[in-house]
Amino acid sequence: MFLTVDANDKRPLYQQIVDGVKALIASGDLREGMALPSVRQVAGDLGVNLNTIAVAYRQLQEEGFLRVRHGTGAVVSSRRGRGVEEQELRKPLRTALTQLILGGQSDREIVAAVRQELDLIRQKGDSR
Amino acid sequence: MSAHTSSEWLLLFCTIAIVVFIAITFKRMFWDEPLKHGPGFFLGVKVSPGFYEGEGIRWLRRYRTVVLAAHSILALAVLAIFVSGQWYLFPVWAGGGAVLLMVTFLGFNGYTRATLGANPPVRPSVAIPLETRHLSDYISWRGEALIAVITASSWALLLTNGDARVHWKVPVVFTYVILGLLLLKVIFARISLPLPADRPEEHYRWMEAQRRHWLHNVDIFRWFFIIILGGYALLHGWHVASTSAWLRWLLIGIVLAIWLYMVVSIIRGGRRLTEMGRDLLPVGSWSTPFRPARLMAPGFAVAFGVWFGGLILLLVFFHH
Repeated sequence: MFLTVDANDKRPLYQQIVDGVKALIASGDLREGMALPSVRQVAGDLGVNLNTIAVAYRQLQEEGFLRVRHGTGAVVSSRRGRGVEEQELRKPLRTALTQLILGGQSDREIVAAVRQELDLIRQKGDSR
Repeated sequence: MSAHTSSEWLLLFCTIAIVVFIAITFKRMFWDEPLKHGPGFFLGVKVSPGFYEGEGIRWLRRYRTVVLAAHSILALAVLAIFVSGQWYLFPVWAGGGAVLLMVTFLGFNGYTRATLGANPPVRPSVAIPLETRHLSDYISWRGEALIAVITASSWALLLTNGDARVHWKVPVVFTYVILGLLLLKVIFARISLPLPADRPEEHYRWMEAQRRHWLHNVDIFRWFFIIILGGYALLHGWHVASTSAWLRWLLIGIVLAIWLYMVVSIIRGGRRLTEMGRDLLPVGSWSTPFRPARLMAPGFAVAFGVWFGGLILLLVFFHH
């Protein structure tokens, strides 16, 4: 199982890692109890500062997706983030929908695109 | 035919076998090494199309000359050992030969990367494997415990029962090599390398296979020295063994067998790895925005330099 980060991506590196891990959890590739490599290993593989990865892991931990044990690495703790209100979760969706509307897409096209993305995430999980 | 003559015949046979083996190693392992990733690369460095119709011919000739010179030194040295009859130098030859080949090869690699590969392509996307890697996945601590017991027992035998003919440089140098290679193994097991975003699974399996291949061969190399150290302690610390001709031959046989096994393992493993990675990106042939292209991790290069420097210092110290 692999995460991909791209230097041309507008998001900072740590955010790409956070989003990537969340996507793998959502698709079911990463299940509860599965171990993730240590901060040191990921930082070494990428060739970046330990702090960059530590920030990503800390955010995932704060959102309730990871349990970090000092010295032994991180474990996926839950498929559901904690302490995030539905309204909070909807905010990025609202932003994305706004962008699609401003991009000139019809309601029908937007619903189809959302359905397609959702199916893609579910399919990935089911294929495991 | 007298016993003495049959021994000489056996030694002549062994010498010829070793020289033939060196020739085979040279042809199988080194001759086409720069070409193993196809015409787009030279020793893992990306080259332009048409390279092998011009500049590449000179590079290939230069590489083969350097590696042939190292192999010739090895072959001449083993012939010199045979002619002079100083077979106690064989472990020095085998160990020194392995290091000579490694240093020559890595040296030429480094030179190639500094000149021909000074500006490697940059790939913005990098894959991160989410598999956990632990030291115990690569190093058998039971095996290490056995090595520690044999080493300690050998020292105990030599210190308590060693005869007057004990040259202390032998156990000191061999113990240094055995322990130093463990340190290099640990560093090697921890090396991190960037993974290209395309075909990450294949690249990862290939890199892991390379890591395990070299760790395995370093282990064989260490056992080569452990058996010699143990054998030396037996021959000089146990009077029954010191008068036993068959034990001496048995030890020589085991040491030769381990050495041959190591060469076969390197050749066979190398061919398997070449097959696995034929159309994959060679390690260190590309850089990322996060790290430069490197053949080996700086930590490993420093550790190897310190270990090798220490070995040379020890040999110089004992020579005087």
